Order: sequence, then C-alpha cells, then structure tokens
Amino acid sequence: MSHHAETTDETLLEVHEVQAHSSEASHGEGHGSSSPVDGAMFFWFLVIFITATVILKKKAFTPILEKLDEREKEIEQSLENADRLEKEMAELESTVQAKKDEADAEAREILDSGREAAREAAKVIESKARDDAAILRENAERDISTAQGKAEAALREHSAAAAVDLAMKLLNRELDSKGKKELADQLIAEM
Amino acid sequence: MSAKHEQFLPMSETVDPIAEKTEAVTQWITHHVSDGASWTLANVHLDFADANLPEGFKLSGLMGLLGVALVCFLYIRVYNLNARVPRGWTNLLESMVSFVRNEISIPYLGAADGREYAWIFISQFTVILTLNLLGLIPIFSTATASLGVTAALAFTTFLAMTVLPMQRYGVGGFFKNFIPHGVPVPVLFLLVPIEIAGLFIKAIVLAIRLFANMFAGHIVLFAMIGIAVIYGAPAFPAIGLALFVFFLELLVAFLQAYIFTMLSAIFVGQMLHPEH
Repeated sequence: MSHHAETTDETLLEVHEVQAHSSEASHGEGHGSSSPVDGAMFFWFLVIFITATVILKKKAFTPILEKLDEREKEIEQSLENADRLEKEMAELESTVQAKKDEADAEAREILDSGREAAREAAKVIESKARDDAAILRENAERDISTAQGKAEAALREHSAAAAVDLAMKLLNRELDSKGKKELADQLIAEM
Repeated sequence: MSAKHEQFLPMSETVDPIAEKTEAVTQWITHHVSDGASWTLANVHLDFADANLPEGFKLSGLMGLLGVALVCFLYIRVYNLNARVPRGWTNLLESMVSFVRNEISIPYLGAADGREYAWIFISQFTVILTLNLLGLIPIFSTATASLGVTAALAFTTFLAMTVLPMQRYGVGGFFKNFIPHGVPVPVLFLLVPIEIAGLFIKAIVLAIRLFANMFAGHIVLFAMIGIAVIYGAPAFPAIGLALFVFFLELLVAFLQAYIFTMLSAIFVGQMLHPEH
C-alpha cells in the first residue's frame, strides 16, 4: 500500500487541475477557489451520508446489533447449558459406572454364592445318592441272599425228592421178590 | 536552437502515431478520472444539467448517492432480520456489522463505547467499501477517488471526534483534554496548539489517504491499459498487468475501507479516552 500512499503533491495538484477543468467544462465556469476539495461535492455527499447513516442507524444497524447481542447471549447461554449438561452427563456417567460396578460386584457375589450353594447341594445330593445306593445295595443283597436261601431250600427239597425217588427206584428194583416187596410196602406204610 | 535539434525538426512536424495515441490515451484517462457533470452508460448519456440535479452535483456525487442507496437497500430490504440462522446476503451483511463492531469499534473504543458508537463505523465501512467496489465496475465511477467525497467522510469522523467528547466531558472538559498532565507550562504553549492542529490534521489525512489510494489505483489501472493501446501487440503483457492491478484494486478497496474505519475508531477512541 505504501506506493499508493506515496502519492506526491504533484499528483494531487494534477488531480485538482483535472477536476477543476472538468467542472469548468461541465458548468462553463470555474470554482474560483484554490482548495483542492470540491466544496459542493463535499456538502452534497455530507448530506447524503449523514442522512443515510441516521436512517441506517434507526432501521438497520441498531436492530441488527441488538439481534447480534441477543444471539451472542443465546450462544453464551447455550454454551453454558452445554457445559452444565456435559458436567451432569459426566456425573451421570460416573454414577452409572459406579452402579454398574456395584451391580457387577453384586452379580459376582450372587454367582459365587450360587456356585457355593450348588456345590453344597451337589454334595448333599451326592451323599444322599450314595446313601440311597447303599440302601438299595443292602436291599438287593438281602433280596439276593433271601432268594439264594430259597433257591438252596428248593434245591435241597428237589435233591431230597430226587434222592427219595432214586431210592424208591433202587428199592423197587431190589424188592422184586414178593417178600422184599411186602416188606417195603410195610415200611412205607409205617413211614 | 542547436543545429542538431534543427536537423530533427522536420521529423517532429510529421504525424507521429505513438504521440497521437498517447495524447488520445491521456485524454481518455483524464476523462475517466475527472469528476464530470454527466454519466455515459453505453449509448445513454445523462447530463446532470438536463436532469435538474442540484448545482455542483457531479458524477462522484451521483456515484456516492448510488452507493449509499445500495447500502440502505441491502441493509433495510435485503437483510432478513427474522432469520434465526443467517444465510446468503443476510450472513454477508451481518458479518460486516459484526466484524466492524468486534474487530474495530470495541478494541479501540472499549466495550461500552465500542458497542454504543459502533453504528458510526459500520456506516463508514459499508459505505466506503460499497463505493470502492462500485468504482471497479466499468460502467461506474469511483466516488472515493473524489476529494470532496472523502473529505465529507473524514468530516463525519471529525464530528465524532469533537461532538462525542463534548457530550461526555462538556466543552471545557473537551479542551482541557488537550492539556497533558505533568507537562511544564511553557511547553504547553507549544503542545496545546499542536494537539488542536492534530485534531484537524487527523481528519485531513483520513480524507487524503483514501482519495489518493483510490485515485492512484485507477490511474495505474488505466495507464496499463493505455500502454497496451499505444504500443499494440508488443505491450500485450500490460493487459495481464492491468488485470493484476485490478485484483490489487479489489484488495485495496477492502483494505482502504478497513484502514479508514480503523483510523476513525482510533481517533474517536483517543478523544473519548484521553487518559489512554
């Protein structure tokens, strides 16, 4: 920008001459003033600018600035709310985490006690099963021995009967003769 | 006249096409940078005298009026005050308001004054920027390349520099602020007039800086195009240079609007807070 700012007095003088010349050409008369500032232009633009500024201040800038302030406050409030919510969220998260940890510990405890109870129950069931099995075994052994006794008795009975039968057959063969037969019949009758 | 010069005299009497073109280009540049009382738009020629425009009202005035009207139209009609989320033009216009208030007015005037008087600087910034940019459109002219217009703008800063402190400190207090604390009395005889003169110089410098920058930019731009016109094809790179200067002018348009507004805020801030 410095090359612009370094505009020499010569240039300014030239501009003034150009503008004065132009003014003379358009109005047919000069300003008759040595000032480089066009007085009429200064006045007209000052009126235009101040009028516009007053209108803009009332109709545009003040409402816009108020709205900007309002929005700034809203944004600040929203940010504060967001911060607060973030903190609350963090607190909630830590509470949730604590509850979760608590629940985990409780669940672990329940599981452990459940396992212990299951182990106890299993032991009880096992010992009961063992007892039951022992009883059943005893009963079975008793039944077996009873059945064995009965079988032995039956066997003895059958053996005795077979022996008697055999003896009868032998006797019958020995007692072919009349005298022997009579004796045998008599003995049988006596029995 | 020397014999050597006389030898070349007949040559200078012949028609030199380069000199002719240079003369034509000079006239063209003079016409474009001069503040006339007429405006030519393609085939339409508007003569201010025929249009019953006020005496002394020239092209820069018309451009100033157009620029100011455009700013009013944009901020009053185009800007949507009810938009919850600003978009498009509303966003652009609002960002300028916000920029001037937050980056210029508040830093140099303080939070309270910066908010209260932001409208002065917003108005200056938007109007100067619009006038600068309007001047870059070929059919328009740069109002800020007229010293009358920039002086009027600087005068508004001068008004703010004097009226606002007078409202706050009173007329006596205003002049009391020119007396620095702890300075020996004899020095004051030298210092106070300098301080008072500084008040005017600041405003004058504001006007000259903006005018000179915008005017010089246009002269350079037209000169580049003029070189291409005078020398033809060999000077074709000058068109590229002119294009470069045009983009530079675009930057200057924003920069000068910013500098003018920033300096205004600094000067007003100095007057409102003399203790700083």
